Amino acid sequence: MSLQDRLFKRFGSQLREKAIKRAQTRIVLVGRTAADLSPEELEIVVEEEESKLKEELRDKGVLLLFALLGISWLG
Amino acid sequence: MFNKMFRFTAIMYFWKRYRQLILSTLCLFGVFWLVGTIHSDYVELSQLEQSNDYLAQSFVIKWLIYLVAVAVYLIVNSRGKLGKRAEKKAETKTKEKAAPKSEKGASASQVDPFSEIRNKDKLRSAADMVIEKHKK
Repeated sequence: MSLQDRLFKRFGSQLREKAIKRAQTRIVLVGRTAADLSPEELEIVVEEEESKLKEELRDKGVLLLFALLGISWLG
Repeated sequence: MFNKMFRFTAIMYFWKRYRQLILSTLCLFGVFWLVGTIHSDYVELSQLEQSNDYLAQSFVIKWLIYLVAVAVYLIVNSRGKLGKRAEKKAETKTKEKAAPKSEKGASASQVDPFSEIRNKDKLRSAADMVIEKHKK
C-alpha cells in the first residue's frame, strides 16, 4: 500500500470515528441508545454526520485558501 | 488577524506535542551553561591564586557532569517515547482480548453497534437504501 493510500485510509478512519461519536451524541440527545436502532438506521445517521463533517472541512479549507491568498469577504 | 491565528495555532501545536522535549532541551542547555560558568570561575580563581592542585580534576568533573546530563536527557526523552509505545501495545492487546469475548456471546449491550460501520468502505444514505429496496 502506497503512502498516499495509507494517509487516505487513516484520514477516512479518523473521520468515521468522529462521525460515529457525533452520531452517538445525536442518538443520546433524542433519548435513545445505539442498540435501539437497526444497523441500517445507524448507517444512515453515521453517513449523515460524515457528510456534514466533510462539508465543514471543505468550507474551512476554502476559507483557509482565501485567507492564505489574502482574500477577505469584507474587502 | 489570520496570520496571528496561524502563528498561535502552530506554536500551540508544537508546544503540546513537543513540550517535554523543549523543556528538557532547555534544562540541558541550562545545566551546560551553569557548569561552564562555575568551571570558568574556578579556573580564573585558581589562576589568580596560582594553585593548580585541583584544576585537572575540575575538568574531569565538568565533563562527567556534561555526560551525566546528556545521559539523563536521553533517558528521559526515550522513556517518554517507549512509554507511549507500551501504552499503545497494551491498548491493542486489550482490544484483541476483548473482541473474541464479545463474539463468543457476551450480552448484547457489550457489543459495539458501530463495529460493522467502522469496517465499511462507503456508507449508504437513506436515499441509497430506498433505491436499493426498489431495485429488489
